[in-house]
Amino acid sequence: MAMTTNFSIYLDFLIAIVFTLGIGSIILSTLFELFAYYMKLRAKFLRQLVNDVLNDKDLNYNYSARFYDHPQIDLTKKNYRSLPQYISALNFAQTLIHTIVHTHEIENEKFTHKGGKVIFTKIEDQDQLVKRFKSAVDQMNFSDLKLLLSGFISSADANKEDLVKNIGFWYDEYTARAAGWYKVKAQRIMMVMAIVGCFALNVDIFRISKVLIHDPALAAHIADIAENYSQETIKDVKETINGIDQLSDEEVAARIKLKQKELGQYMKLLDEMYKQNAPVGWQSETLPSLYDDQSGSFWFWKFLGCLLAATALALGAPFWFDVLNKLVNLRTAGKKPGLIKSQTDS
Amino acid sequence: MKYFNCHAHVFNMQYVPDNFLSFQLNARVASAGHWVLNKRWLAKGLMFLIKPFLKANGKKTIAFLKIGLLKSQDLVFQEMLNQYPKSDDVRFIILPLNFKYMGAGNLDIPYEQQLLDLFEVKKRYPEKCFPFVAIDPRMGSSDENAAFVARYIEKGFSGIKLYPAMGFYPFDYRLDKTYAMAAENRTPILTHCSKGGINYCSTKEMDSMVSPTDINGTTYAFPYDPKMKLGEYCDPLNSPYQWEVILKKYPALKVCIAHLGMDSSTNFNNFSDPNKPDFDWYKKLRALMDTYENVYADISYSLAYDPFYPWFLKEYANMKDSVKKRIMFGTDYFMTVQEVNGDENQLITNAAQKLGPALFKTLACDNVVNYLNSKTATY
Repeated sequence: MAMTTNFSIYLDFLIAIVFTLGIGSIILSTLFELFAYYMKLRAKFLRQLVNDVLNDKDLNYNYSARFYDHPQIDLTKKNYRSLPQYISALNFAQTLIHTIVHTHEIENEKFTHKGGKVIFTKIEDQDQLVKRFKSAVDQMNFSDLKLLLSGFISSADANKEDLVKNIGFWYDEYTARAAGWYKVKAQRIMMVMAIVGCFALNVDIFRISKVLIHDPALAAHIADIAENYSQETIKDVKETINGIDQLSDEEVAARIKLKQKELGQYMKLLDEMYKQNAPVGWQSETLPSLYDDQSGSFWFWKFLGCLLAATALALGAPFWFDVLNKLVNLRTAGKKPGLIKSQTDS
Repeated sequence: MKYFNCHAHVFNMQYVPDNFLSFQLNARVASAGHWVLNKRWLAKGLMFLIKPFLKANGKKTIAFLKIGLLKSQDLVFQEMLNQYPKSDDVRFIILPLNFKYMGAGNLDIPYEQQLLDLFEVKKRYPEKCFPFVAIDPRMGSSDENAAFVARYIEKGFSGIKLYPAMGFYPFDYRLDKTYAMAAENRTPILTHCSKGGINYCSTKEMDSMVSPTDINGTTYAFPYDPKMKLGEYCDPLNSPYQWEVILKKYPALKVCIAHLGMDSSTNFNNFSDPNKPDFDWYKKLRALMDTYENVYADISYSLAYDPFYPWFLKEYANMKDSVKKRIMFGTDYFMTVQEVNGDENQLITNAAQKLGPALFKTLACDNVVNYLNSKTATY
């Protein structure tokens, strides 16, 4: 009986700590999303991707700058200084073709000045777009970009739709791979945010554990909340975190509004879990004097505790909710049928 | 009335190298400055925060940066045009700069793209925008440089721009063919001529300054003393004295030596004392104008200083008629925005008022048209 009770206490403690970290991770990822949105990280990352391909400044032009200045992209921006968060494959392909064609066709344009009159002339190109595109690419100095564009032309077989499709298909593949790079970048930023946040707010894993170990009732209370936390919500957490890269500008804006609302809800939940007395913050803890003999040891464990908390939070909510799911199943399996029934009835 | 501003710039921050500000600041400070300027939200926020605490000069610097931070040359051009009365038929000689060789790091947008973008400004404002093509001898051989210039003149660029303080002597042998072609076609050249301003800002790759070879094949030695400020070392590159050898070889060369009277930072606000030795460059310029009938000058930037007009009017009255036909009106937009009296609108109003309608017409219209007219283009 005593062993069962101890097991139950330890399980409640584990569930409480995992659930706390899960909610903390959601808060962290929500804060990251808000940060990424306001700092335009996604838009800048996309710009960097386009730049990596289209900035051919050493051998030709910086087509990336001209691509972003093209009205087809420019007009999708919120204002003239902002960057689009998303460019569709079709928009990318059409704008790229026109940027290359336009940049090189300027070379066939000229002004003459006669007696105060300004006369503009250009060699009218009646050819089909694919031919004009090929002619523009032929004018380019040899470079990786020229090679890439030549590949699109040769597989398009002089057909405009095929050319657009080829470029669009490649762009989709490229951005799909890049979504992974973005996540790695996001992970690094979240780690930094977690470290800064944990030290600033005194989120110390040892302190939280200590509170939960010394207060089994509180751990049981949190475990109960965790158990009632619906499976649907856990699924949502996973999907929304993985899905952000596929959203358009408008969808991201709507999502950010929702995130702001959710952030408040999660903060409130954390507060309720710890009965308005969450073990975080510097004011709620008595700190040793600098002259205290124990001071060095205290700060060593404090540093380690905050660092571990930051690392745990940066692991992400999906990880913690997977673990939580397993622990909650274990807890539910260990309960007396009568207790489960009474919980279901209530 | 149709008139010209013969000296204006519309390039923005996107065409300048990574550490452009290092010609004025320590390289690390310049790099930090660029980092801030590239983070527009931060630059905007900082400007907003510090603006109330700045004196007039600081506010002017912010106004200057704001123009430089505009997204495109097209917008800078529009901004400039908005400063002029809508009823005016004003035209602008637009002077690009090739920042590639000034030793301030990489360009994100190649110089030729700046010209391409400028050509598009010309397409938007064909009757108002008259771009020049900037050339730097370090771009290639004498033949390559001449071919480069010829290509853009053929495209409809109206003349050639030089900015020697970026690290070369105007008599550099790699400009010989360009001068021969310009003299032959009467293509106008405009060269920067003042102390201070933008200069070469590295102590590496200084061959074109330390041991330049001129268009006659003579090599000179101008050793650089590391104790010397780079700006001071570069000032002589702008000097009108450097044009003597070129004009001797190509007396038909049509060249405007800009910023009349802006010889030294000590006389910026002291035009009333023309006997100061600082006016050495001005005297040389006058001598060149007396000797060579195709040497022009413009009053750009100088006109932003109040004492300039009385000094200039006195000097102008004593000039020979043939020289009077070669002084042109220009403002040096948007460099002048940094000056207390440098708002473009203010400069125009001042110039029209202080020069009087007849002289303004001579300087801003007749003389500029004569300057621009070449064998291949008439304005």
